[in-house]
Amino acid sequence: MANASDTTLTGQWPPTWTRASLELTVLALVCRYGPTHGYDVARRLQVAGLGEIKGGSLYPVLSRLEDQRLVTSHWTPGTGGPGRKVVVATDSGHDALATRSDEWREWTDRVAAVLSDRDEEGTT
Amino acid sequence: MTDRHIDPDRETTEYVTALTAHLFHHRVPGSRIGEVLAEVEAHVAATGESARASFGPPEDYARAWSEPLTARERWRRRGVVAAVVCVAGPIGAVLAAGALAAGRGTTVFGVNGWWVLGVAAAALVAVIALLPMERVIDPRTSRPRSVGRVPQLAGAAVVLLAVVALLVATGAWNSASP
Repeated sequence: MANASDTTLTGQWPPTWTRASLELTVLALVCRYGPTHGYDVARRLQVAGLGEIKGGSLYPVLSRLEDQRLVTSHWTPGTGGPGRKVVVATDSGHDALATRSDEWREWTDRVAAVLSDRDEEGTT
Repeated sequence: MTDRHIDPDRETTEYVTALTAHLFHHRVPGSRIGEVLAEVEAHVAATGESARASFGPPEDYARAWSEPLTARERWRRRGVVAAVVCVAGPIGAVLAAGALAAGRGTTVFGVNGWWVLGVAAAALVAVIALLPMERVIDPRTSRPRSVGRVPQLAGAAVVLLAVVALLVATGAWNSASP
């Protein structure tokens, strides 16, 4: 599945950063606030300061998580309008979140370390 | 925020129609197409945003769902193409023979050229119109969405235009004209 275009990732952060963390942050929000809806996840990402995530970026990510069996979904009847898709994390999803969160922290620590070394070199 | 200058339902319908065509073009399975379309409609209804603002150009969004076909799916599609060619090929040959006969005022195996042309054209249109298409099921209702026959109808229209062209080329059109 290809990545959505940058037109559906807007905000002050480079799209590559947003795209790299989107699957993990979406999984985290579904684990924390599920059962929930896609647009609610997008709203929470924006409130968290991660930029405006449009449906064009969000739903392919949710689909990938579902393909990995980290979340499940079902449709609920709508009242006077289209039904709504509800997503909820599976036990595997919670386990994967814990593992991937640790890995992400290790990754960002290493990135920060590289940046720190560069800063020190620049000031010497 | 909803653009009050554009009918949101019409804009969404147009977007969904275009997206459907692009999803088919990218060989997205029908089961996935139904899910994608339902998500677009539900998201637009919930947020009030236009479909294009939320999901980007339909051709780009469709590309986000394309993925390599499995070996089984590739063989299934090759089988469908082979079956269509095996059936449509001979019918096309009969159609051409009918057009030639109609133009020359002769027969095909003793049958009037116009009859042969008409029957062959009808058979070819029927084959194309009944081509197996990916079923697109709306997950909200578990019912098929009415999106699958437009390409086949377009193909049938192409056949009819080809018949007219054959008639003109063979002179049968002039002989049939009052």
